[in-house]
Parts: sequence; structure tokens; C-alpha cells
Amino acid sequence: MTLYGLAARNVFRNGRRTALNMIAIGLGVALMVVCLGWVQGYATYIYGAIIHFQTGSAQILREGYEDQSARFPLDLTVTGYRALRSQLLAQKGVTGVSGRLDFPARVIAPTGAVRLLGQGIDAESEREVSVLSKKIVAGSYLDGSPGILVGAAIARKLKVEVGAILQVSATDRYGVENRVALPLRGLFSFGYGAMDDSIAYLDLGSTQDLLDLGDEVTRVVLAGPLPTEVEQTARSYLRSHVGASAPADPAAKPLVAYGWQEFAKATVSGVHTDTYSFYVIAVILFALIIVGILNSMSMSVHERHRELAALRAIGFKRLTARRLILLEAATLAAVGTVAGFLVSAPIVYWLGIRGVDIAAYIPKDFPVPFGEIYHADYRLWHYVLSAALGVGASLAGALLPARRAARLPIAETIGAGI
Amino acid sequence: MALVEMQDVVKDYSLGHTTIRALKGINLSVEAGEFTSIVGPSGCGKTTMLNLIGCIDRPSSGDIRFDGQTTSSFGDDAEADLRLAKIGFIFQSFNLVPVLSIAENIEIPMMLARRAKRERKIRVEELMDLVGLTEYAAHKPDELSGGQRQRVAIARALANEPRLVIADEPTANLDGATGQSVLDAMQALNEKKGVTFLFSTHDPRVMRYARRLVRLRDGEIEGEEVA
Amino acid sequence: MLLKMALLSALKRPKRAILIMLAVALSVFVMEFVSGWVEGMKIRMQQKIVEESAHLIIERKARLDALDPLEPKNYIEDAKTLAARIAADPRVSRVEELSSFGALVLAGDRNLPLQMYAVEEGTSYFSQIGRGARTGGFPFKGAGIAISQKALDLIGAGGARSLIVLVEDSSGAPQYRELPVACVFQTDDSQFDSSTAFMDRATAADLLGTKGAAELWVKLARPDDAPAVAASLGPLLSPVDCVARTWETLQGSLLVLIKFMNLFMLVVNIFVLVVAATVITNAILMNVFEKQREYGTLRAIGMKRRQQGALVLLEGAGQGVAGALIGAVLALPLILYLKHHGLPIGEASHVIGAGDVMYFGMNALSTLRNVCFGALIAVVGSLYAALAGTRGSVVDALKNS
Repeated sequence: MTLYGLAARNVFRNGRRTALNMIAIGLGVALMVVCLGWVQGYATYIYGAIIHFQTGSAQILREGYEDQSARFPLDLTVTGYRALRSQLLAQKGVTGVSGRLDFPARVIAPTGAVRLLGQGIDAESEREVSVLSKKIVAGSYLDGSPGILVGAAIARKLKVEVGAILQVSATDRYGVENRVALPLRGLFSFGYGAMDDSIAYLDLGSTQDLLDLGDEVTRVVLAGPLPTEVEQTARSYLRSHVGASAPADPAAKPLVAYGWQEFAKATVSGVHTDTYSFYVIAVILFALIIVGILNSMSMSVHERHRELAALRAIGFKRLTARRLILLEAATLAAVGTVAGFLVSAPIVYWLGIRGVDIAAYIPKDFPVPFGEIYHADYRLWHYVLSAALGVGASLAGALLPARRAARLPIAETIGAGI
Repeated sequence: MALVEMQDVVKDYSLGHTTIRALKGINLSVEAGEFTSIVGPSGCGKTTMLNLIGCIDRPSSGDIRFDGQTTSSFGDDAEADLRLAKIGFIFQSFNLVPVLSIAENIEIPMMLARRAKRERKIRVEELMDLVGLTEYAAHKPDELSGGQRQRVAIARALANEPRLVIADEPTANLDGATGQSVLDAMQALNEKKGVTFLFSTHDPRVMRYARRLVRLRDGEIEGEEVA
Repeated sequence: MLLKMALLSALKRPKRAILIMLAVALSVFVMEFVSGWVEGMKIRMQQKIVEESAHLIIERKARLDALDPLEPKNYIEDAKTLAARIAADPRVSRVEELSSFGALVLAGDRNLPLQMYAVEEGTSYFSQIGRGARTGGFPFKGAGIAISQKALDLIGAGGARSLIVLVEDSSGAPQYRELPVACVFQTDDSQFDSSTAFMDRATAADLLGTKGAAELWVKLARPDDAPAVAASLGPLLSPVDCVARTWETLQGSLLVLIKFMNLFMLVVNIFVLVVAATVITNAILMNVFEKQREYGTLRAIGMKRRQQGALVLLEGAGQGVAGALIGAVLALPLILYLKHHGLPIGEASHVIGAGDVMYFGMNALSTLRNVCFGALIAVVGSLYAALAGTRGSVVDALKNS
């Protein structure tokens, strides 16, 4: 007979109480596993999608542009784009740099016109910072010559096909309305309504002509394997190359580097809200579990006080008595945790492997790229952390009763003595 | 007709894989008005016998009749009704409800019997007077001495004017003088009110109060003495 | 007296009673928080309907299918007559003509694209503009434009008395007009502020070269009548090639989100309730088993099994109700605070139809339901404990020390 064996048998002495405690621990662990994977899915898929679809790892803009982005300020552009690009590409951790020129565009076809966000892109460089080139579903990607890409749904609305000539109208930096005719090179589909139905991509050269700009863009998008590192690199580059960040005209504003989160605030705050609410629920659940275990183990120690005093009388040290109670709590938690893993298994399978058909439920213009099927992302550390929380909560609840068990006065507890 | 009749009553208990025969074919009659003590050493089956007579346990075989009715075949509710109406209990450890006052403890059986509030009030006052605890009506059990608590238990046992009062070692937790006063009270009730008392004890001083002694050993009646 | 026994028993074990009530209170607190959130979303949606949208919107079918809904085309020509006929329905409280179109507001070398609404002089919609008016009032009389402070700051025209508005008329030709700034406003939705402005109908009609109105916005006495009213308008609308969309269709994405939130919250509530239930049931079971001898005594003196069960149930239910009420009372100040000040959840609040912050709501029925559920878990726990605790025989109960 070992202490572990004794603890295990003691745990199952009161089946009902043990079962209730295990249900509580099991549910808490199951919820933790399910939620951790769901939240990880945000980071793995959604954040990844946002970065590769749209924002890049970091961006450089003229100071004030982002605050005034509603008016698409063409007086706050990033000048000297080509030179800046070469310099940024030479920085450590930066694998791609591409300029974009944003403007409110009207795309006109013989059947009608639509208002879209126009984005002039440096096509070849854009391959390094986004997956646009891989999302072409008809025709081809831009090759640097004049051309336009629109979403497949937009093309259907306009009743145009690849090869058609579309007019793009916009107001240039001087407030003059200009127009350019461009061939429809290809149709794209990200599977993300917020982009598919609202953006048209033009080649950079045509866009700069349309808006009467030189070698200027409204944002420079950077990519690299580690987004945080790319952001730091951009910031330190701008700090050390003041000339680049502060243009010749002293009245003009300097360049500023932003992390990708700045351009996906709705997504990020949505994910944060979701994540924090999981954590709050988890805290409440585990607080309940701790209190429940405290109550149970206190009762258990009280019921067995003579028995525990007798064990002390025959040689158990205080520490051993304490360990016994803690072992019982750990055993309870271990079984509850396994039960929790089993309960969460079908949910993990459904969410992680099969995925959830979110597209049917989420509005098309919802600014979070869940994609057609959302997958949670389950990792080993989720299970380890959930188990640790389950065992930790059980042990935390058992600390006081263990202390009481260790401090039982032997003679008094046993009663009349020998 | 005897108040209580036991015919070939056997009681077995299972303790894990073992079966213990606590009563081995008891035959006993108790007449109304008796003041009878069941005596014997510890573990002889006194408490078991009282539990069976009081319908808080069932025999493994044999018949028990109370006031002409065969109780050994009663269901749960019928047993409860019988206990409520005709049997009073006095326990060794008093078993008062700690959160209620003395008056309320005495009132419980009448409340269960759905007697009118006014009637209950009058009866409680009577009983408190009978056991000499009127001034303690509002006190809680833990504010009273052992003897006083046992007197409350006696009053409670008499609340619904039972035919029989069963007392299992009623003085075991009391000192000599107190125990004696409790027994005096029980004897007085028996003589003046004609309440039938059946109690168990292994204390010789207590045995002297009984007018009839039934000796039990190893689950069998060894003999009887009538004072 | 059973009630008194139940209450006093609970008070005799204050720590355990507190534990049970705390578990129930915590569950109810969580449910109240979650309900407050969803209620806030619903209230915001209802507000949006009557402020920025309508119970029914009627427009030309061609406009609905148009590539650019902001183009000044496919207007309802004889909008007044149609409006009068719709207003004759007793379920309809108000009908207004309204047009929305794309416009550019210019100041110096800056411009800002906006969605412009041409509203009637006495419009009952967009009341948040009137509430948020910093200069002038809304609705305003005569020709003019109502624009937000944020929009003015974006084009560097902070104190401007007039602005130049550029629109494309119904023939596609650009039209410029300088308009007096009749009202400067600020609402609690910065995205709305930076993308929306208002113009009087007469100026809009003149600028756009249109007759009639793009849409008829209908307010109903009871929003739930919308589908029925829409159906009954069919014969009136089809000859003029118009269709009616109900608020459920118009707010479809928000309704889906609310349903989603409801489902998410239901799952969360269930988890919290079940875990709380296990803690509560355990605690009540402990109470029952600790009092086995007391119950045995009561059974011995004549209490029936079901009466003993009732005693257990009373004690547990009492603690459940008390805990549930405590939870509701504790949640109340927080919900009230969040009702008035809102919960800043970042940009996500715009996504779920709220403004810059997520305001909570209160609903008495919801609170009552949450209190009942909270009490219910204690009752269910007590029921189980009552069944488990009354199973044994009287003699076994008496043997307990």
C-alpha cells in the first residue's frame, strides 16, 4: 500500500461527492480546451488571413494619413517610393515591400457603375506581401502593364468578362475628376466579402497617372516571417533614417511605421473581446471549482478526522497527512481532467478537423475573414495548460483542508486515549 | 389484547459478507400500562428489539402486532402514521432539533399530525408544565443541561398522547442524580397517566424502577422478572 | 414551522449557506451580464431602425438591383401620392420621402466622400443628429447641409459656414453647389459621423435633376406588423414596380449576429450553470448527510419521507432564491453603469451595430428568467439531495453521529 494507493481509494469512498467534483473539473477542463483551440484558430487562421490578404506585417504611412483616411488624403502620400522600397528590402527580417495607392474609385462598365475602393498596386512587389496573385479565379494577375482586377461577384454584377475595357474615374490630388480606361485582366476571390465586393486593384503606374501623382504611394506594405520583428525593423529604420521619414519640405509630416493590427482594428478588437470573455468565464468556472473542492475536501477531512488522527498516532507525519489530502485532490483532478478531455474530444474533432461552416451564418460584410469553413487550432500545450488548471484548481481548493488534516490534535481527536 | 405482541421475530443484519442474527426468534407481549425494561449486556439486541417494536426497522421474519395491527407488513407511510399517532420516542442522545426552541421541539409531532395551532399551544404549555420546564420555553436545546434536554424529549414523546413510549437507554448520557430524576418523571407519568413505557438499559440502578424486566442475551429472551 | 426549520438550518451552517448562495449568485451575475449585452444589442438595433432606417423601406425594384444604390436613378416618380396611399393604412404611423446618394464635400484642396441623405423638413428620423447638434438644429429649414464636426475636421473646414458639394446628377454630369452649413453634429458613432451628411430635399432634387424620391421610409405603430403590412402593400406597389423591404431583411446581418451572440451566451450560461450546480448539489448533499440523525429523529416521531424531502427542498430552494436575488442585485449597478457609459470594446462595437462603445440594456423579463434559472439549479440540486438523503431507513439515519 502506497500513499498514492490510499489517496486513490479515499477519493472513491464517497462516490456521489467524487462524481460531482469530477463533473465540475471535467467541464472546466473541457471548456478550456475547446476555447483555447478556438482562440488559437483566430491567431493561426484569421490573423494570418488578415496579414496575407490585406495588411502585411507592418506598414509605413505619412503621419496623419490613418487619422484622416476617410477622405483618402492624397496630400499625405509617401514620396520616393522606389528608393524607399530598395532600402527597406535590405533590412533584416523584411522579405517583401510593396506600395499601394488608395483612392475612392468609380468603376464604369457599359451596364453601369459601382463605387469601390481603388488600390493601385506594384504588381510584382505585391506578390511578396499578399496572396492576391494566388486568388485569381479567372484571367490572370497584373503584370505591370495597365490593367485592373475586380472581384468575381463585382464582375458578375457589371456583366463583364476578362478582357473587357472598364473605365475608372477618380478625383485627383487637385480635385479634378479624371478617368482612365483599363482592360480587365483578371477576377479574384478571397472568400472574404469585405474585400471581394469592395476593392478593385489597378496597376500602380495607371493609378499614379489617374491621380496625378509621381513616384508616390499612400502606404508601403512590409512583409516578413515575424510580424512583430518587421514592425520593429520599420520603426528603427525610420528612426535612423530621419531624412527618409522627414521629407525635404519642413511643413510636411514625417513617415510613421504601424503594426498590422492598426489596420485590422475591428478584427483584432473582435478577437480580443471574444478571447477576454473566454478568460473571464474560465476564471469564474475555476473559482467555482476551487470553492467546491474546498467545501468537499473540508467535509471529507471532517468525516475522517478520527481516522486521520489514528494514522498520525501510528506514525504519519504532518507532512504525510497533508500530502495525502493533496494527493486525493490531485487524483480527483486527474480523473476529472481525463473525463474533460473525453468530453471535449468530439467538439475538438468538429471544430478542429471538420471545421464550422461559418459562411452560412456570418454576414458577408463582416470584417473578419473567417473564410468558408472556420477551423479551430488545437495544440498540445492547450491540453497541458487545461490539465494544469484542472489539477491546480483542485489542489488550491484542497490546501486549507490539507493543512487542517495535518494539524489535527491526535489525542483530542481520537477521544478517550489508549 | 396486548398492546404489543412479538411472535417468532428474527432480525438479521448484513455486514459485508457476514450476516449477523441480532434477534433469534423473540416472543414477547407488552400490556397497556406496563413499565417494562429490556435489560442485557451491550450487543444483546435491546436496541434492535425496541426499533422493531417502534416500527423504525422491520423484522427479517416473524410478526409484530401493535394495538391489534400487524405492523411488520406496513409500508413506509403507514409506519410513520402509526409512530406519529401511537408511539413516542426518547433517545439516548436526546436528538432534539438544535435550531428550534424547546417549545417548538415539543410542538413538532403535533404539527406533523396537523393539529390546530391553538390546540398545539395549549398542549405545549401543558407538557412543559408536566416536565417542569415552562420558564425555558424559548431556550434552545444547547442552553439546557442534559437532564433538562431529556425532559424535553419526554415532553415531545408525549405530545400526541401515544399509547406507548419507547426509551432507548434514556439515562445513559446523564449523571446519576439527573438520570434518577428523569426516571422519576417517567414513572410518575406511568402511574398517574397510565402511559406504557418500554425502555432499555444495562444500568442496574435504572432496572430497579421497572415493574417488569425482560432479560435479553445474544438475541434471545433469557428470562423475565416481575416486581 | 418547516420553513422556519429550513431557514434556521441554513443559518446554522453559514459558510456552506454562503457557498451555495455565492455559487448561485455568480451564475446569475454572469447570466445578467450576458443578457445585458445582448439586450443592449437589441436596443441598439431597434434604435438604428427608427433612427437610421425604417420599419419598411419602399423603393423601385430597379434600384434594388442597381449596381450602385447611391446613383440618383430609378426614383419613385409620384412618391407623394404613393406615400399618401400607404399612410392610409391604420397600422402605419408615418411615411417619409427620402433619397440617399453619393456626394463629395470640398474645402480648399481637400475633399471627403460622404453618403448624403436628402430628408424632409420635419423628418422624424436621424434623431441622434438633433441630439448631437453642436450648432444649428436638425431637422433644419430651408436649403443647407448638416454635417458632422469630424467630417469638417477631416477637410480642415472646422468653422466653415458653407461648403461646396459635388454630386453626379441623374444624367451622370457633375454638379457643384455651395450650401450653408445648417447644422454641425456629433454622434456616438465616429464611423457614421465621418461618412454621412444631410441635405434638404429641394436642393437635392434640384442638384440631382430628379423627380420623386429614392425611397419611402415607413414607420409602423407596431414593428411586428412589418411583414403583414409589406404583404398588404403588394397590390399598391407592383403597378409602380416597387418593393417593400421589412426591417428584418434590412437588419438581417445584425439579427444574425444577435442570434449568434444568443447561442454563444447560451452555451456559456449552460457551462456556468452546470458547474455551479455540481458545487451546489455537493454542498446541499453535505448538509443532508450531516443532519441524517436529525432527519432520522423526525422520521421516528412521525415525519414522512416526502415531508423530509420537502424540508431539504425548502432549505436548498430558499438559499437558491436568496443567492439568485443577490446575484441580480450585484449585477444591477454594473449593468446600469454599462447602460449609461457603455463598454469600450474597440472597433468590434461598430461591427455589431453599436457605436463607439457597446451600451448594455436591461430587461425585467430577462432578469426574472435569470433569477429563476439561478434558483432552479439550487432546487434541482436539492431535489437530488432530497432523493438521495431520504432513501435510507430510519434506523440507519439514527445510527449517524
